[in-house]
Amino acid sequence: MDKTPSPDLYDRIITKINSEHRLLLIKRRLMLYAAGSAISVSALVPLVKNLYQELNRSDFFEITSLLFTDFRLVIANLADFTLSAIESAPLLPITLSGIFLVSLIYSTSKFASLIRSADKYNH
Amino acid sequence: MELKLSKFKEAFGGENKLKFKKPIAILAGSVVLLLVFTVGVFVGMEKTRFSYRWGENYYQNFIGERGRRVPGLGRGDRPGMMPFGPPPLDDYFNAHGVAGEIISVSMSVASSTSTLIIKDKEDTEKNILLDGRTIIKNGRQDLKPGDLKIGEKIVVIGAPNEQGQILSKLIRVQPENFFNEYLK
Repeated sequence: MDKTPSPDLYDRIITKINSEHRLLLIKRRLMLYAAGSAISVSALVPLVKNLYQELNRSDFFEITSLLFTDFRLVIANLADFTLSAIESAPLLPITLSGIFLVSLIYSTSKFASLIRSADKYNH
Repeated sequence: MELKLSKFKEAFGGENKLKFKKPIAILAGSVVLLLVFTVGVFVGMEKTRFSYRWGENYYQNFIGERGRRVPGLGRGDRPGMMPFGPPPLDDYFNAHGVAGEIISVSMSVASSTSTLIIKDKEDTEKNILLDGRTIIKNGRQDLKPGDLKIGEKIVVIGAPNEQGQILSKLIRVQPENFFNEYLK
């Protein structure tokens, strides 16, 4: 008995190959973003700890506390207050923590969207 | 106004929106970077200038013009203070504000100004000048320069002058427990 393949077999095979290929790419990217998130978290923990220590060591908390106690006077001397706050802020720890925080948010959001894409290709 | 808005939408909306998105983002990013850089340079210059003047006027501000010593300052009277002259600078000082403990109060009747010397968290002395416009607050009370006492913890906002002092505009006396955690 002669069996002929269904006419859409070729298309189905190609579609399956394409989706497997995409799934593979997604898996690779998932690993990349998972690694990115893990690195960001592991870097953020000591960085935030250091940032807190540096903030305590500087006058930043004391100067910014004036915002709550003497708001009107702070507004009246806004230029000096702003400069004072910038001068006392530990800029390097803030910048480093900021960079890794942004990297963590970016990696996590990409990871979540890739998980959703992977679900689509799995079905 | 309506016409201008529609022209703007025509030029930058629709398909053109995508075309302009990248250059606008690059331009905005460059402006922000330039702004941050400019602020950084300005703040750095202010700190450097103040630190230089602080060192230049150290003897006059803290030891006294005729070699008169301010009690508790210089010559190693206090732990952390340098025994001879200004301490070497590890970092530049904040020029517009400082928090610390008052270690000396002196009033000048002739010039109607007062001078405070405070010790900051790094055990460095700062000379704070008070004039008639300086506002001193303790809780909700307004204080006079004469009400400030040695040992009180204060936060100062002001502007640096040519003598390496901070001309104070606002002084807030902090409650004792506020600093206990941080300033030791």
